[in-house]
Parts: sequence; structure tokens; C-alpha cells
Amino acid sequence: MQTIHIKINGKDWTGPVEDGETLVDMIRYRLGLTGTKRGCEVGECGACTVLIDGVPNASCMMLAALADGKSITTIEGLTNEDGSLSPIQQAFVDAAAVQCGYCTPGMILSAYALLQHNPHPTREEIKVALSGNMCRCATYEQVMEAVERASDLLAAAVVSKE
Amino acid sequence: MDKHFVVGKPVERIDAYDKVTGKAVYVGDMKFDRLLQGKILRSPYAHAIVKSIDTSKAKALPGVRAVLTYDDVPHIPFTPCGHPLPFDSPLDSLIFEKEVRYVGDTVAAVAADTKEIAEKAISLIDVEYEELPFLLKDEDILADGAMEIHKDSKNIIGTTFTEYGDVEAGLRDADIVVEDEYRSPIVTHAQIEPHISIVDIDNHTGKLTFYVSNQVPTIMRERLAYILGLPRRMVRIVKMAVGGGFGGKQEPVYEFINAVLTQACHCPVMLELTREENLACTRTRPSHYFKLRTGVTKDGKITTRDLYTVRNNGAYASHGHSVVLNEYGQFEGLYPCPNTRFDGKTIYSNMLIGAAMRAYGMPQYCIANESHIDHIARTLGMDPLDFRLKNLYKQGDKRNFGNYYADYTCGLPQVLEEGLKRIGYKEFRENPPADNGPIKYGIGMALSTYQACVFPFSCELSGARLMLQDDASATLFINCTEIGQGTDTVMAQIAAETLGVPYEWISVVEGDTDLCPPDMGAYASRQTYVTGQAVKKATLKCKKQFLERAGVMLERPAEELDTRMGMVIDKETGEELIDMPKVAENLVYHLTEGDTCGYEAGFVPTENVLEYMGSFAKVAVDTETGKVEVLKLVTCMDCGNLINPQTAMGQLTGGGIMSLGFGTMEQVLIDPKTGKVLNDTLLDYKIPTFADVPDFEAKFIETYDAAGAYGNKALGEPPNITPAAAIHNAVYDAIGVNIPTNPLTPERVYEAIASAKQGKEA
Amino acid sequence: MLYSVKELYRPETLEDALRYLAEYPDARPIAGGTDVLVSMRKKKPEDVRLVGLQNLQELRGIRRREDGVVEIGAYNTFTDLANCPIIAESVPMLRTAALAMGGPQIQNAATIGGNVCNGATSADSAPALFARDAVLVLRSAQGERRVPITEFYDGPGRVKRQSGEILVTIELPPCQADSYGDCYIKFSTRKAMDLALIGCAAACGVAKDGTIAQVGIALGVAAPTPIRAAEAEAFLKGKRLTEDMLEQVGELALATAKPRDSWRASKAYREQIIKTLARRAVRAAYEMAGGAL
Repeated sequence: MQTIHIKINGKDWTGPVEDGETLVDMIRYRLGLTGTKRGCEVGECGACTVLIDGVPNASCMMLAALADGKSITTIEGLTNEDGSLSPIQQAFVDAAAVQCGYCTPGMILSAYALLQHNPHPTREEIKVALSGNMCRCATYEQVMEAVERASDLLAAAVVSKE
Repeated sequence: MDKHFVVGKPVERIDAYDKVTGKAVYVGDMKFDRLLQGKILRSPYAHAIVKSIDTSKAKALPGVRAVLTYDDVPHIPFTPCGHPLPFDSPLDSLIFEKEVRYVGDTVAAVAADTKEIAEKAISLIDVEYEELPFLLKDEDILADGAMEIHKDSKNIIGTTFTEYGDVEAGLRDADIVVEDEYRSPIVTHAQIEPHISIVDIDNHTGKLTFYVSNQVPTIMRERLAYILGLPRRMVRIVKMAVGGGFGGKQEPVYEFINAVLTQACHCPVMLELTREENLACTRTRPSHYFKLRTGVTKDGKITTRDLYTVRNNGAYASHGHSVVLNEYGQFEGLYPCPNTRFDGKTIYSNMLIGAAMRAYGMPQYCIANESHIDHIARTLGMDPLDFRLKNLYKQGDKRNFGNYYADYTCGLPQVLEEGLKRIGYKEFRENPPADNGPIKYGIGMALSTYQACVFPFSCELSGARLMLQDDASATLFINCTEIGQGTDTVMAQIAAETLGVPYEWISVVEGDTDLCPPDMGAYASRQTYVTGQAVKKATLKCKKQFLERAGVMLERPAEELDTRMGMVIDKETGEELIDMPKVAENLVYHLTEGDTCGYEAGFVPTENVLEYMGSFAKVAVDTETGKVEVLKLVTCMDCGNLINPQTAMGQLTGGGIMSLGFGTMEQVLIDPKTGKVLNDTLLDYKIPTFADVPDFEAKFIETYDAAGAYGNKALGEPPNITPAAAIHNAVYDAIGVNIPTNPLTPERVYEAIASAKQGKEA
Repeated sequence: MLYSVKELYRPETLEDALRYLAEYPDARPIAGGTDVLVSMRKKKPEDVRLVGLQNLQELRGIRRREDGVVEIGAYNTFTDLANCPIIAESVPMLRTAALAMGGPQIQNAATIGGNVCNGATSADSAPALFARDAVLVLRSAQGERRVPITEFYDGPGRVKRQSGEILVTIELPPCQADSYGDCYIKFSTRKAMDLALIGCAAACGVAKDGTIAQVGIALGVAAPTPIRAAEAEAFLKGKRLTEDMLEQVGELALATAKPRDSWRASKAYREQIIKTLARRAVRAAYEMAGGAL
């Protein structure tokens, strides 16, 4: 057992974790954030994707204790406090880029991270950036559209702020 | 066609918000005060007798709550097959087997405080096996005197033989007979959510509640009660959000195992399979063998078609022979002719279990048949398109096989026209691209039909209940069921359209056998076609009572009234007369005439219809490596009128990319020496990633079919049929070799090119 | 998943890490975790001791020394490699390899040091490092050891990392020729999340007159460990590359290789891919260095 300190969705959290506990289990069971899914436990499906310091990571491939000091964002962290959706989530809704939904949280987080550093990705860049998130419903065409919509929404938001 | 207000609109999916926020509750997300974890002990052998089991060490491990073997559970032979009663598959399965028949078969199970303890306990169970010979290959299984995998079965699960006309004479008299053999590999659903369930128990009554990730709640209730020897009233199925089904969750797979663990422990038990178990020990689209013989005239008219097919279904029958019967039903969908023969059988082997998988036999039949069609065309020196045009079904043509399909609409000509235009078929043929170094280019197409439900073969009941609220919103109760394909949304649209209210006024309760009426569930692409009618029927009953009350309020005959987007209107003029919520309020709160307005309806179709689809592909083949690059893929489909064009498109493109996986990369590999699955990870069982998505255009050809609730036919499975076959034919076009199997892995394509080259040189 | 871990030690300095490893020689260094956890999940070892390398600044950074040697800290993720201008400039094929590895999540976690120490013949970083004569700098409580990467691999999944050692830096000596070009080709079924069926790297130093002054050709999955195609290199050295020579480059690359039959691909097919990739990689590297065929 060790005590770690993390930021989870912007809030500080300090608590005990087992030395051999994976980050995905800590997120799901200790923090109760079940939006992060588990699909393979070996980093091959992307369902457990979370952002660690803004970067997509497979949370099944990381021991929780090694996340000590990091800032972690899960799907729950993208939703606004009042329950309204972030632009990328809204774009997934608008493009119907959701079918069974099991890969969706991880897919959205990867898309969010992509748009953070590349606000206007090409289709090729979207495909590469999301290639670690497998979707068996193969909702890929709609996700591509969603990322493009989100890119537009974000650009419009920037313009309106200016 | 009436003007629709909700149907045909891309309304927001009912489940979208929950799914993009992580709030949707899948089985694994449920919280219980105390939840034990189950684990299955599986056979390491493809075929063996379990001589003895010593569970003492496992039971002694702290944290272990139950260890169950054959001796501890009911021995009621059952079929897990997710079909309605009566049973149409052999009752060949048990909860735990004494004779294990594939690597992964169930021997025992443990419930413990944690997964890790359960896993440890499994490793502490000592089993003495007596290994038996095992059978994998069709020819060994069907050989005279072959060992029987199930006693007295002769290794046959089912056979079908039907002939129309005179096939032998037809083949004799044909100018040319072309023959092909084709074998499809085992593939599996690889849902991103591995199979999972939680079973809870009411320790007072013994009633079990199954929280499942499953496609068929009604059938699950009946089947699990049967397997466990319980009255059906002691079983409740609650379907949670489902992380992918595709047919692989269309039956009880292991839910009965955590049921017996729950009964033994008197508290809820979760059984969550690992990814490896999901890929190697659940369900598959098993290997099919096809032998096709076709007789044609010199000028390219098909006179005779003969098909022999064998489905190697694995250790237990599950859906068994009914998949072959689906191929049977579609056999003459596209190319009817006077002499036709279908000879099919389904057999056992010592491999993992074949069952339903998206489009039920058709993806493999389509590659076999459509590549055969291309082969015939090439043999005749005809363009594959011209040969098809000469033989394709035209509305009104007679079919022998599948003569029960109604024929209201047939978008096949438009499917072809649109697809050929989008892929640039004519341009490609007139101006074929020159080889680019080792790269060769090819173009190909594949067509198919698919049914809208399983009438007249099997019970097709769907049910719906609509409960009108006091504000004219309504709650719809269905069991049909949502697994990601969007049925909740579509059913809400149908209810809203029929009731005459905005879509947002409908909420849906679904997937609970204690709350919702029986429905055969999510398979056969049937939901919009069958449940859609049940929803419409129940809603019309509500509407009738509602309009009667409106008539009383307006002092007009109800027959003169209608509803539209929340208003009661004059049927003739369309004039808005009164807000529907006012009528609903009157209906409920009237001092003396207060009433409820909720109706349930069942619907059984009395006809079945066909969808038509085609895919068109352009490929580049690297002849030095065999690598196939899909340059462009087009799918066009006539599935009638679209209820929701946006969710429909998700099915069309998603099914298409899944098919690309089937055609080019997916196969479950079995070690011939042990019968063990070799590639039980998502690294080695290759489903398409985002990076593998080609330039893909999808287009619906909308018809308005008289059989559907709102002109619709059916949709879910057929998008998964033709793309792989179109890619196959494009590769055939590029390299001139018809590879008799899939997937077209680089190695396989290279070998085909190399051996063709050798053949030419020799 | 709860792995059976007796202790996950998280040192703040390399010295402390080496001290711990000296005390517990069986302890396993863990960096990105993408190989260590997969292996633990499969083999289920009990009461493992792990040493987390995350906080060791000594393992970070990518530098170009004055003598032109590029030093890559072992704890650089594949994303770090892909984003590093020094890599893009001095060994672009390593960037290609980094981006060809797994998917973004894996690239964000997996480190080049872990990739090397895991000892897989399919390691995406290996062919590039082999072709460029990388030297590994290993440290233990006893001191420092330098090993050419070509001598580090010992067999499938086995490397000559001694117990108590941590791979600290990977050094790439500079190319001395007038111009430099390289190429890594990963051959796999899928475009992402896949293992190489064969990987091939070629690095070419080309003189002003177009002759090949320096050449390294390396193959992954062509033998139980990554290998150099020495015969093909010897054949090319001092020559101007021509179209006709490429055929022989492929054949000679194959002469060094010992691919095997497996359910992932047959020996014969791997041989064909080795020949093809060697030809294509050498050609691309030569052309990138300004050579014209």
C-alpha cells in the first residue's frame, strides 16, 4: 500500500493504493468513475484511455502508484459542472458518433487531446490520433465527422471570444 | 407516402448523452454492497473425459465462497441457441461437462471475494483428464466410422437438401459449367465489452435477477429458467447498456454459471470474461465450406445453380443449422434460374462454438457466390457487370428458393447504378490504370439480398406498451432491444410519429422482462421491421382513446380529428384545434371520466421482405508483398424508408468496415496439433482500427415498402455482407486469381500471385 | 487488475535506484509498463518487486553532443522520440519507427529503453538502432558498462542486461559521410496496433560522388533477435547504387536472415518480405541521402 496524490478531473485526491493496482481499477473502484471502461487489460483496445497530464494513456497499462503527482482527466472531467457537454462531447452527439458506446469515453478523450494540440486536424491525422481506440461498431466515419464538427465549434468559440 | 414529422429525421439518439458522458451503465459499472467474482475452469484439451476433480485446495483458500463442478449443478441438457421456442437445435449442452469437447469447455467454477482470489482458486483445482482424439477438419469429421463428438449424432447437427427443376440435366445441357470451392475462416465478434453478467438472488423467494449484456431478454428468461430447472417466474432479465453484440450475445453464453454460483453463495456474483476468453471461448462465425457449380449458356445466361455447403460449427450446436438455412433462403435472391439445388449440412468439431454473427451466414456465402459469379464472367470473356446484368433478379421474377418473400420494392437497379457511378466503374474499364511498378489495380463489386425477419421459419412476436402520461408525453416499454444499433431511438420516433407528438415527448423503458412485454429481441435485423409494427399498433390504440376524449372535449366526432406534433388537428383541413397536453390532462384528471390510457400490442408479421445492397471497391495490390490497399469502397443499400438517416448511416458504414475486417484481416487461428486458439488477443485477432478505414462512401437508396411500419424494411446486419466480397473481386480483378478463401492477408495474396506466376512459367 | 506486487519502489535518483537493485537483484525496472505488465498478466509471477523509473531525470532528455553523438535517455517515450527535432534531423527513421509502434496510447507510455530491454525481435526501435550502431550505456552500483546494441540481444526476449543494471542512455554515433539518409519500413497487416511481420531499417552515408561511404541495414523478426545484414552492407560499400544492384541487396539481406515459420507468417513469406523491404529501404535511404539511381 502506498499513498499517492493526484489531480483527478481538476480536483486534488490523496489516498492509498495497492502497489500492484492498475490505474483503471483505481479510477473505477476507488474513485467510482466508471465512465472509464476496461476491454483487454493489455493496452490493445483503448477503452480505458484517460488523459495523463493531457496525454492519452491506456489506464490498464499503468500502475496507479506511478500516476502519483499527475493530473488525470477521465470522461467525467469533460462534462461541465452543470451537466452540459464540452464541444467534443456535443459533436459526438450531433454526429451520432455513438453506437454501443463502450469505446466512446476513450475515443472522446483521444479526440479531445488531439484537438488540444492540433485544432484543425486532417482526416489522416484524425485516423492516426485515434488509431489506438478500437470501435467494433466501427463508428469511425461518424467519429471523423464529430472531430471535424468539434474543430469547427472550437474555432467558432475562439472567434466569438475575440 | 404520408408526410412524416419525426420519422425520417436525424433526431438525437436517446442514449447519446449518457454514452458521451460516461453515465451509461454497463453491467460492469453496477454497484452492489457485496459482489463476488466468478471464474471458470476451462478444459485445456480439445477433447477429454473429466475423470476426477479435487476442489479441496481451492475451497481451503481464504476468500473462496463456492467451488462448483458437474456434481453440484443441474444436468438438464439444453441448447443455448437464442431462438424462440420450440427448440430447433439439439439439446447437447450442460452447465459443466463431463466430456469436454473444445479447448475452453467448462469444467468447474469458483466464486470468491475478488477476481484475483477466484483466479488463484481456479489454479488450485486438480482435474484428472483422460485425453481423447479430437476432430477439426470437415473431411475427418464426415469420414466413415469417424469418432462421434456427440453420441448418436454422426457428427451432424442438421442437413438440408432441396432441388427445383433438374440440376443434373441442367449441368449436362449447359454450354459451360464453372465450378468453385470456397472456404471461409472462423471469425469472432470481438465486442469491445467482453461478456459479462451479474446475477442477484432474492433469498426469500429464490428469484434470480440477471443483469446482462445481451440481445434477447425474452429468450434469455425462458432459456435460463430451463437450464437451471426453475419456473420462468423465478427469472428476471435486466439488460444493461450493451458494449457490442453482433450476434455473439444472442443466447446465454455463461450466465447460467454465475447463476449457480449465486445460488450457492446467496449473494450476487459477477462473471466477467477476460479478453482472451472473449476471443477464444465464446461464440464465432464458424468456418463454412462452399462448392458451387453453375451451368451457363454461351451467351451468358445462367440455367443451373448447384450449391453444396458445410458449416463446421464447433463443439456444440448453438444456432447450428439455422445459419445454413438463412443462406438457403437467400440462395436465389439475386440469380434465380430454373434448375437450382441446395445441399447443406452443419457438423460438429472440437473447436469453439459457432453461433449467430451479423448477417447469419451471408457474408461468407456472398464472397463465395459473388467471386464465383466473377469467375463465370471471366470464363465467358464477359465483364462481370454485364454478366450480372444478364442474370440479376428483376422485380416480378419467379424465385424457387425464397418464394415466400413479398416483392413490394426492389431498389437493386438503383443500387447498381449509384454504386457503379460512385466507384467510377465505366471510367476504370475504359481507361484501366497502368501498373505502378509492382502495384496492380483492380475494381470489383458484390451484391446481396437480405431478409427483414425470420418469418416464416420461426416465431416472430414483438411486443410494445405505450403509456400515455397526463401531459401527452408517453413512456414506451419494449424488449427488442438496444445494443448500440439505435433501436430505442427509432422506436421512440415511430411512437412519436404515430401518436403525433414531438420525439422528445417519448421516453423508453427497455430490456427488462418484469416490466416490458415479450419480444424475440435483437437479431435477424428484425427490430424496426417487427417491433416497429408493434410500437405502431400499441400507439394507435392509445391514439384512438385519446382522440375520443379530444372529440368529447371539442364536441366533434373523433373520426374527424387527428394529431400532429403535439396538437389535435382537423383531419381534413389540418387546422390546429387544441393542445394535446390539455386533452391528456382532461383524460387523467376528469372528476368522473378520469382514465388511464396505456395499451400493449403484440405483432407477428405475416410476410417477409428483402433488402438489396451492393458494394464496389477499387484496390491496389502490391505484387511483391501481397498487400492490398483499398483505395475506395462504396456501399449502396435499399432498406426501404429510413426512420433515422443518421443512425442508419452508422449501421451502413460500421457494418461495412466490420466487413472489411472479415475480408482482409480477421481469422481465429487454431493450432492443428492441440485444437487451441492461437490468437486470443486483439493484437493478433485483427479487427480494423481507425487507421485502416479506407475512403468509404455509403448511400441509401430509399424505397417505401408496404410491409414496414413507415415504409421501412430492415437494416442492422446486411451492411456487413457485401464490402468484403467487393474487395475480394477487386483483388481478383487486379491479380487475375480468385483466391478461394478469406481474409486476403498479404501472405495469402502473395502466395496466390506467386503460384499463378509459377503456373504460367510451367 | 491487481498484480501481485510485493513492493513498487519509486526512487528519486539513479543512485537510489541502483542501490535498491543491488539489494534486490530480482527487482524489475518498470518504465512505461507496456511490456512489464503484459508479461506479468501472462505469467502471473507472485510478490514481484518493481522499481519505477519515472522520476529519474538521469534517464530523460535527448541531446546532441559536440562530437555529433546523439544521446537518447532510456526514459524517452516513443512520442518523445517522434516529437524531437534532433531525432527528426539526425535519424528520421527512428521517428518513423516511433510512430509505427502500437497506437498513440502505447507510444505515449512505452519507452525506448524498455523497448530495447524487453528483447523482442519485433521491437520497432531495434532495426534503426542496429543500423546506426547504437551503443547502450548501462549503469549498476558497480559502475558503467557500454555495449554495442548489436551485441546486447541474446535470444528471443533475452538481453544481456545484468541484474542490478539499468539502461541509462542510448548513443548514436554520427554519420561521417557527406550526406545521410535513412529509412525504416515496418511490414504488418494493420496500419496501427500491430506487430511487425518484418521490420527493415537502412542508413546510408553517401559521398559527394554518389558512392556509399557508410551503410547499415538491419532487420527485425528476421531472426530470433534483430540482426544486421552484413553481407548486403559489404556489397554496397564504396559503390554507387544502381537499379540492378537492388536485386542482389535483397538476396544478400536474406543470406544473413534466419526467419522462421510461425502462425503469424511462414518462413518463405518472411523471406520474400525481407528481400523486398531490404531493396526498398536501401533505395529510399540512398535517395534521401541525395544519391540517384
